[in-house]
Amino acid sequence: MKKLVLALVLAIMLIAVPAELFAVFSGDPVQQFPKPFLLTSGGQGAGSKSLRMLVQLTKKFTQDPTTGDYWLEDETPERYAYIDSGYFKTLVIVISVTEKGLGASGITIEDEIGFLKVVLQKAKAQGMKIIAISMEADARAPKIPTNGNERIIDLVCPQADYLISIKANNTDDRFTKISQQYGIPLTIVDSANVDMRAIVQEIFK
Amino acid sequence: MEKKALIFKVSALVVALVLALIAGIEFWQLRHYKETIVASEDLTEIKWFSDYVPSLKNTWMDTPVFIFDSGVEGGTVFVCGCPHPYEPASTMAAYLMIENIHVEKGKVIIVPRANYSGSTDGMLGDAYPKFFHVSSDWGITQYRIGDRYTNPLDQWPDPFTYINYPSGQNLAYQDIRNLNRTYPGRENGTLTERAAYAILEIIRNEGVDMAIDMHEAEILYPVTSTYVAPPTVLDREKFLETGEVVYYEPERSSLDVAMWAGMTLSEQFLMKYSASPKTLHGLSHREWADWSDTLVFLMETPEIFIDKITGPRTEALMTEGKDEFLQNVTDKGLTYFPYEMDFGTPMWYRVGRHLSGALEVVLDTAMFYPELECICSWPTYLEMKEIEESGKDSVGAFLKDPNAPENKDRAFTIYYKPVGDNYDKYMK
Repeated sequence: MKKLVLALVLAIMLIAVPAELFAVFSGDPVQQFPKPFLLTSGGQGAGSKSLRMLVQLTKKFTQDPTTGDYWLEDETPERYAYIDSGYFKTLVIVISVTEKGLGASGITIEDEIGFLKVVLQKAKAQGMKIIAISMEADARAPKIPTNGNERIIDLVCPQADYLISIKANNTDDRFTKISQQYGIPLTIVDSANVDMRAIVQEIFK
Repeated sequence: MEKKALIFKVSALVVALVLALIAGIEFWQLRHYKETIVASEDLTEIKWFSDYVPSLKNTWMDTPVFIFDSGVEGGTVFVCGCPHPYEPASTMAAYLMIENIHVEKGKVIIVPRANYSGSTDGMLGDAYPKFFHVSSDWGITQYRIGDRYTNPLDQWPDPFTYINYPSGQNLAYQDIRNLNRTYPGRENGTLTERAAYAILEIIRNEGVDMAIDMHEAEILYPVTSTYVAPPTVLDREKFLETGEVVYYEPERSSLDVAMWAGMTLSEQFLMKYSASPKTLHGLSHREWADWSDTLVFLMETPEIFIDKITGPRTEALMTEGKDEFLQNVTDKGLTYFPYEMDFGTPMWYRVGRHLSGALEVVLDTAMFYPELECICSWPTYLEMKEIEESGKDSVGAFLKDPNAPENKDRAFTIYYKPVGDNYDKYMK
């Protein structure tokens, strides 16, 4: 039982203590981008929601689509409308394909890629900055070119202004190569729960 | 000539009868084999599915529900073991919880064999062993592997297409016998639907705050090594009044807890998270949330035994999970789990993952929503790993001897009806 109480205390500390105290980054220095930011998923997976959860835990940002620091929208055409509104300065795309969800929601990876092309086009037309993030553990399995995540990386990352990946998702230098080829800064973080909270605060200071 | 033909026919009949007898004995053994567990001293009550759905009494779908109530107000946790009996790390994790649990605050309810009927046959047509064995200091214990579906002896025939109630979603015909496709179930439905309804009734009537469903999955299936939780829930009132299907983000989010738990656990082992789609019906991670107020978490461990491309399905494949074909496929980058044949996917690893996966959810729920705090403990993945490193079977190390004098009062035979006197002491 002592171990359990200790685990609970540690777990609470992990949330309560500022993440930046423990954060570990490598690669390019953390870039800064303007608020408000629109958060969306590239692939309809839970990645964007997990980033929102981490952003909420920082308690540093307000969530509202017209007056807040950020808003989450994964649905189409709703995310088109938010981009067109001109309110958001930065678009954050979390690369996160859900094999389970895509089929069940009645759309295919081709549909989602089509939606994302429009999202990127509209964001650029509005002059928004684009950040692409890969933060879900083992999100890129299986690592074959036809995998949805790989196809979305191919679509989104070369058009982004900044790339962030957790270390585990860049073991084959997938993001390093894109960063070098297109001259896009890339920051690597060790863990999602601590480092992503810290990096978001750095980016949107 | 006629005599020769007669001898041939009689011989063929005898051979057929002998084969039928051998097969019959095997079926009988699996059907009637009884497992016995020793509940921890924190056990306060035992109920049965039939307490929630009376028509399940004396059917092979009735099953015991173990309740551990600390008496201190706090969150209530429900753990569902064995929704798919051919995923036995789920059952073993539930057994280890029941045998070792200590509850200081709140209440924990554990069903170790949610589809009892399905545990009494094997995957028909898929030749594999009926049992696997666990070694303890006090002896070797045998456990059933079971089927994915309710035993056709208990529920038959299947329709051409199964239509889930009340969503109306078309599912494969055999899913009418799949507990995790029949939620929320119905009180007067098929045997499987009634069991599903009993689980929903437990969740609703016992005021369950966190409901955990333990599964195993192939590594060629995307949702392996994963938590699945719903980001949105059905507006039940609107649906029941108007039939309109509207989903909304609830105040308390299972998905937030699952995502945090997954990120935290990934420092011990890979644990992904996935959002439950709102249009995929019949599954616990959708229907438990839609038809009750509980937070819902489904957990999947990697079980290569049920991957379709392995070598022979032996007991070792189930308990050790070492297979060169899957290693080959993993090396080509085609699996959803970083499989290493040298380590495999041993039973202790999968059981430990479930134990820590469930505990992490309980801990993290308290962190996000302190009013739901439940303080409980059972063996963890790291404790089991330590025991394995010392060369012992960590599953067996946490099992208690039901024949030891100090355990006899709390030894329970798991069957579709109470066996022995011990149940009487805990059934109110």
